[in-house]
Amino acid sequence: MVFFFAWPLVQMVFRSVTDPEPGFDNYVRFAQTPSGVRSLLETLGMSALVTLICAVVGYVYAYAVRFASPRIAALLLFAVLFPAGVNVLVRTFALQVVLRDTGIINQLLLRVHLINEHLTLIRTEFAVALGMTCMLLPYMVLPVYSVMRGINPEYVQAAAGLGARPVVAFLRVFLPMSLPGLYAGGLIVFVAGLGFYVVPQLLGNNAGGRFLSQYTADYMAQAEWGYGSAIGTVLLLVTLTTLATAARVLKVGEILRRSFGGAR
Amino acid sequence: MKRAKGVDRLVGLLVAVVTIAACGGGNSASTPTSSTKSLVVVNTGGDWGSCQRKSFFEPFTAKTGIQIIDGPFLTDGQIKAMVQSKQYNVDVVYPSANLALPSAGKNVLEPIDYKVVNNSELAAGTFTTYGTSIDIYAWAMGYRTDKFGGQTPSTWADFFDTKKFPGKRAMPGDNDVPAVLYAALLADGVAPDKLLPLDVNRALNKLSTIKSSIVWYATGSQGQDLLKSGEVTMGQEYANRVTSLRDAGSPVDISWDGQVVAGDLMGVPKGDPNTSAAMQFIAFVTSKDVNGTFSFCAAGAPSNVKSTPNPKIANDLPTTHLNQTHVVETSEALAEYVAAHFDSITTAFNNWRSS
Repeated sequence: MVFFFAWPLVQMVFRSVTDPEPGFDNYVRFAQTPSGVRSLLETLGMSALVTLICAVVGYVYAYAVRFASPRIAALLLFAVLFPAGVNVLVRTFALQVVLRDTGIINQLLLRVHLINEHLTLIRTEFAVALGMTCMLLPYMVLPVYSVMRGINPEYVQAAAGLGARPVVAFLRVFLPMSLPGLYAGGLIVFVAGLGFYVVPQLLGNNAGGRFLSQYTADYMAQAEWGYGSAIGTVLLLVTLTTLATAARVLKVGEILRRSFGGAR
Repeated sequence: MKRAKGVDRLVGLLVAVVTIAACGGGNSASTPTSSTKSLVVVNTGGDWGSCQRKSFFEPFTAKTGIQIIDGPFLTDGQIKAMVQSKQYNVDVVYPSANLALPSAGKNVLEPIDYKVVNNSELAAGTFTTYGTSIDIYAWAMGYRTDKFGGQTPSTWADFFDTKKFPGKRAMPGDNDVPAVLYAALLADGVAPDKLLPLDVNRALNKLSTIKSSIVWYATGSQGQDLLKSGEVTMGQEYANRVTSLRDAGSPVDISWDGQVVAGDLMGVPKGDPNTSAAMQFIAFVTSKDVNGTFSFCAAGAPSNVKSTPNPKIANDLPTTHLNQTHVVETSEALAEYVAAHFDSITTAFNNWRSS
């Protein structure tokens, strides 16, 4: 593990301060390039937004799975897991067909005269957020569901028995106990989102907000390894900072151990 | 848990299959052999790729007994990485015009052996010290014939006139930034022979006038798809992509005015163990008798001026329209300039694009 994962990262960091010349020129160059900094902000902002959407949608979904009858629950889990087995490229192309100006949604709305001119769906921030949510939702649903399954429903019944209204019982008993699942899922979704390339490339507007991975591709194609490595290092630092903060504040490591280890 | 175990086994099986598949392909070129039995040549697939196989690869195998294996397209960066790591996965690559220049190609590419390859018959601007064009292609203007009420756009100035010709525009901003800038400068009234030194700001200012209407794309198929679906009404496209759409019945047509012409350069990675067979291949496909046969199954113009292209599609070949305004992207003057200023051009373009 150390050989395959850590060593290439060490090489990357080393290269970022040695290629083409020793020093921090690559980092200075990145900080002084508006399109690069914008890409970093876009990457962070979009990943955070998608994490939020996945948290809301995923929580409701996991809740439905948790309290559905076994047969429905299995169906719901299958519905969220099955697409995850289909290639990201294939699913992104499918979304393209659905979203584009001459796509299914626009044609349907035009046909029934709900709109007179096509809606701009594709090549927008909306399309990127939608696409990323589609790809990442399973990674939110699973840990949340796993934690929810470990919560004894009798606690909620007990709260109700002591006079709490259902909403209060949920908010004060069930939700706090299920939060660890949200933290774990949120972390996975956020960190995975930072590395997205295909979705923003095919569904994004490729003008204002390009992902860091797209920005870097330009320079890697020209074999500017040093500059590319510097950008990679910046993203690595952001990711590690996120992980470290999460580990300290939310104790995510323990949650992950409990939710995944405990299920076996 | 019983079910989990089944899933584990399935995953294990999948991993094994993928590993075997990955090992099976693509390593044929890495073992040096005294007599080459197979060559890995870039083949980007599609109609273009199957036509290459038919007109170039199979006849070469028939003549020499050397098998041709389809290889992936490699960017200049990937070619450099391959040479640095000495893992020769592809023997005949497509370097960009910038890489095939004497200054840039020295440490990355084998010089083309012009004792084997006959360059006296090749069109000017289609061969360099480190690259020889297999064919000539062009970026031209494709447009929808069903969106402008009978009016026909013909020049880059029309492309930038979204009042007269409404709708979005496709441009290869993720593929060929210089070609985008050339189109903008031609639209702004710059003569093709006055493009240098490249006035990037002037080009960007011109592009700003239609910025919100531009859809940037990366690959030829994406650009073609945008025009086919009608999401854009005009596009700077690979010419063959437009004519093949038209031939398939889409309401599109092409304008050759201001086309950006370029050669598809072939090169050989420096130190490749199959260099001599690769040179033999390049000589074969650019020879008079072979080079023109490609145009009988795809709209690629021959780089060998003595060869005979398909008379039926002569009108769809970039080389037929060189009497009109055009830019030769792979000409040494333009390529040298772009190579020398590539970083500043790309950065200026990216900063403008993201602002």
